[in-house]
Amino acid sequence: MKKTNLISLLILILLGTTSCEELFEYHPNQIRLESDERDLTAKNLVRLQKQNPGDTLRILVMGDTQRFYDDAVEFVKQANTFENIDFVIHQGDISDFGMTQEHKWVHDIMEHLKWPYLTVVGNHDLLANGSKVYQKMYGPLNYSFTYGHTKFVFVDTNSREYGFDGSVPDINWLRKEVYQREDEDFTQAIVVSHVPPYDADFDGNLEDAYQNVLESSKKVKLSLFGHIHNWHSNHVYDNHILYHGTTTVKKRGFTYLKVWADGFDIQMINY
Amino acid sequence: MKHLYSLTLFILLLAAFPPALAQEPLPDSAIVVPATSPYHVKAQFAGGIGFVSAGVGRSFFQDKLETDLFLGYLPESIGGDRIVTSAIKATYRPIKPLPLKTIDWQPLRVGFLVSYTFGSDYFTKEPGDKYPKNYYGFPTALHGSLLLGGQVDLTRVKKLQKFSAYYEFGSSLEYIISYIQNPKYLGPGKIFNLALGLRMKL
Repeated sequence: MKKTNLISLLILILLGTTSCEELFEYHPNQIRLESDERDLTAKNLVRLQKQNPGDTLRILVMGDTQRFYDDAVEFVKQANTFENIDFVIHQGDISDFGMTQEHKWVHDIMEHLKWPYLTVVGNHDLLANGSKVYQKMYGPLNYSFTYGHTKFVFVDTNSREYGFDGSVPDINWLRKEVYQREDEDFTQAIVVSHVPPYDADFDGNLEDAYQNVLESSKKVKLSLFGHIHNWHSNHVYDNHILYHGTTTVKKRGFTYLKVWADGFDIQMINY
Repeated sequence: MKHLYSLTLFILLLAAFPPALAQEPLPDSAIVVPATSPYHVKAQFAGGIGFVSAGVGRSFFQDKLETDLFLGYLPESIGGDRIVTSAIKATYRPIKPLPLKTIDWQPLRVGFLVSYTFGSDYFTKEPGDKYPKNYYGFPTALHGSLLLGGQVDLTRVKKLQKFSAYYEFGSSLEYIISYIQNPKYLGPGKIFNLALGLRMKL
């Protein structure tokens, strides 16, 4: 046995492996991210704020990618045929098993969009150590931003994942966000969540409070959600607030939303 | 694509090397199987059960079948989260090892691994007080993986007869299901990951 042969074999193995950064996986729940896979919410908001919002905002809304990557690729192709879109909303359940690799694959697909995309956390994204994954990769579970005349409020409503402990959704946070502060100027607020408030996965003890906050703010006319894997559009609480659910990419549908200062228009696109 | 390229390169290199080593193949009668215990210990790098893991196990049917019990550790500094994992592994050698001078090369070992992740973040059975029955339908603490690899036994290397080195490409069942459902976006290079390990016969 020539020891040199064995040594060179080992060297070649090492060469083959180090030329590839994801050849080794230490654990399915490891949270190993490249620098361009971190803080995506903040990064996309920076991109967004560099754009000039017009009188009419144009937004594509999709979601529940879970493990349906081929369908997500198709969505991106379809979406990119549109023009003058401001940004894309992912309604949550980015992943199926709450594993980092799934988020990385979805981001790898979504970053081919011509516009920034923003996400809200879904219940699947909170499985295992998914909450840590989401916060490292995207950012806070609750966040908001104002773009043009409209404020967008993304809120974690996956109460079941927290054992219905009364903390989710965070009503106090939500109240501060949808009520206009003195230093703010927006004509309407759109609340984006994964689970709708009338769903069994939403904390029933918080349903009234949640919907009261939205109504009494006098700013919310529209709330977007995913989770149900179907289209659903209804004035659920017999008031002026429309709850609009977008189907999953697996069913090849997304919403084309136009927003102006005091109104909006919804088109359901099937592809 | 980069991943797939490296994987192919790696396999090609492995396939290309043995003939270079096997200039003078030994007759079957020359294969010396030293009298060792069927028990062994292993140390492994990567492979979905920690940054490093340690295992104990035993062989059956002249090493055709190996079973191991592993305990693996992934520190937060490397894994982004501190994760402790245990695993049972079984690998089977479907074809005879090739004697190459002082070593025996097992070009193929196939196997299966079931890992259990410790910690309150993970469940084996969905907690009944939290979810309706079969809400998710999969455990987050348990992962099954399919394994494809090979092993080099230092059978006739002086003082190192007890040692073997193995390489193992594995993919979790979640990734395999995802690949089957997404043949366009996913591919073997995206879902298979490499583990490297050492075995010492006791």
